[in-house]
Amino acid sequence: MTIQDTDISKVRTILLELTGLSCLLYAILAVTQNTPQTIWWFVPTAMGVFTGVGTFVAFAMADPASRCMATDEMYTLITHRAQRHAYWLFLGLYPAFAVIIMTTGLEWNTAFAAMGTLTGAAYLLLLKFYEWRMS
Amino acid sequence: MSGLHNSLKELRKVKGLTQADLASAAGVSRKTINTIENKVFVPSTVLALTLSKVLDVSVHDIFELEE
Repeated sequence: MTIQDTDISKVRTILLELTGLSCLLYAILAVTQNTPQTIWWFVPTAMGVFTGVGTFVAFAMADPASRCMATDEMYTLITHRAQRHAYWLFLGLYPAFAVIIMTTGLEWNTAFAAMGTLTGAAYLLLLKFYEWRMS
Repeated sequence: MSGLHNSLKELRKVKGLTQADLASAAGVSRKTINTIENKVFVPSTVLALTLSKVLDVSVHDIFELEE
């Protein structure tokens, strides 16, 4: 059984979006609860692994032409744009969290955990946003 | 959006191709063809040449600079 480029795109988009949302949810929970050991702390990691495996399987089930179509130049353009903007968002997290730590007494380990997952969330959600805007 | 006018949609219809047919022949996704036709995405030189080859027309027949 082979799948088409549209199927790859659907699988990839849904999985990456869910992973981004789980990272965002974790960061919000960590900051609001002031602990990196939030409820469902393992969800971003599990989603990341699941997304990696799911995307790999989708590509493996497709023929070479469909794989090329699913990673064509427009998709490359979107990923590069998301990477560029996520990078600046990531840099912006440092001053933002410095202010949060100073004003709320947020623990350092919690702040780093939240910043890490927010970095992933920024890229993944920007990717989804630009894909949606280009469609 | 860009200063590039294109007649891709018209030329595709003249050839009796759907967006999916053209995308498959050019090796890109249907969404890419759709965004080119809607002037959201400007293709690379390689893709422009590929589209002209698939449609059997000159690149200038598909793309031209807007005045």
